[in-house]
Amino acid sequence: MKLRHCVPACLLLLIPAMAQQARLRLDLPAVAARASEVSDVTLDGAALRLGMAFVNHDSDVSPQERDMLSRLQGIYVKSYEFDHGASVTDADLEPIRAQLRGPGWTRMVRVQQRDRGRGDETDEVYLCTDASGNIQGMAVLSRQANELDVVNIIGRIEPSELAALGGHLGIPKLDLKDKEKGK
Amino acid sequence: MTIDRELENELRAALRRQPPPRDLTPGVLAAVCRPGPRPRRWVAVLAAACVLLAVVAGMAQWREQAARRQEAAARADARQLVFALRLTAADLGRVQRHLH
Repeated sequence: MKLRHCVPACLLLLIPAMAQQARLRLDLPAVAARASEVSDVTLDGAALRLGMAFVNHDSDVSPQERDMLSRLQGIYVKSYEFDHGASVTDADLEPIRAQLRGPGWTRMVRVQQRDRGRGDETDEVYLCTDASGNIQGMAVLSRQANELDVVNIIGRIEPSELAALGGHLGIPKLDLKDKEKGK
Repeated sequence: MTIDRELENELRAALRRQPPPRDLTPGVLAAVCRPGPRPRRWVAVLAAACVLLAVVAGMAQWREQAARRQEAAARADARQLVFALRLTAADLGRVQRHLH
């Protein structure tokens, strides 16, 4: 009898714990010090709901897309832009990569381009899943010649649902189902 | 001297003590005991209505300003959300292009 009550309680406790796990610390003070411009988006809780209400109202988002947006729990973005000469090294990204090596996180995609003139450009997509394989969050690490974007999305967002946003708000159609690669 | 005397006589005549008229006391008492003008009730009602109106108008204005502030905050949040989604989309789109 007691066990029957304990199991749902434990599950309820696990949900915020998983959300906590999917949340990354995106601050890179050393990178910010070299950046010419830093854009910071921190949207969760009531602010995210308010923002989504306006997005849903202003654009032609379908009910399915609305449903997906309603499951978003948080969006966090750090975008650094650099003047010519400044660049980002692997050592700069290590604080974030260290978090992405933690439990639950899996790298889905890593694209690296070597350009002698502009340096390495890498794009990485990570998914955070719980023990049942449900997606809890997502991270995008994009390092370009003069720009570094770090995105952390919290919520049960399937890649196929993200693809469904294609055509709205500038979201491209994605097909990441069969593109998973090992860490 | 004659003029002074005449003036004096006139003064005496003018200042001579005279008994009050018989109806003076009842008249004075009646005037004292007569109830004063009733307070104008409509003035109080009007003042209360004005105060109530001012309070209602103030509250309405406050609520409108609060709604405007909330709307401005929501619009700012929406802009941030769209910015975040577009930036994510651009990064994911680049990944998709590379994969294809």
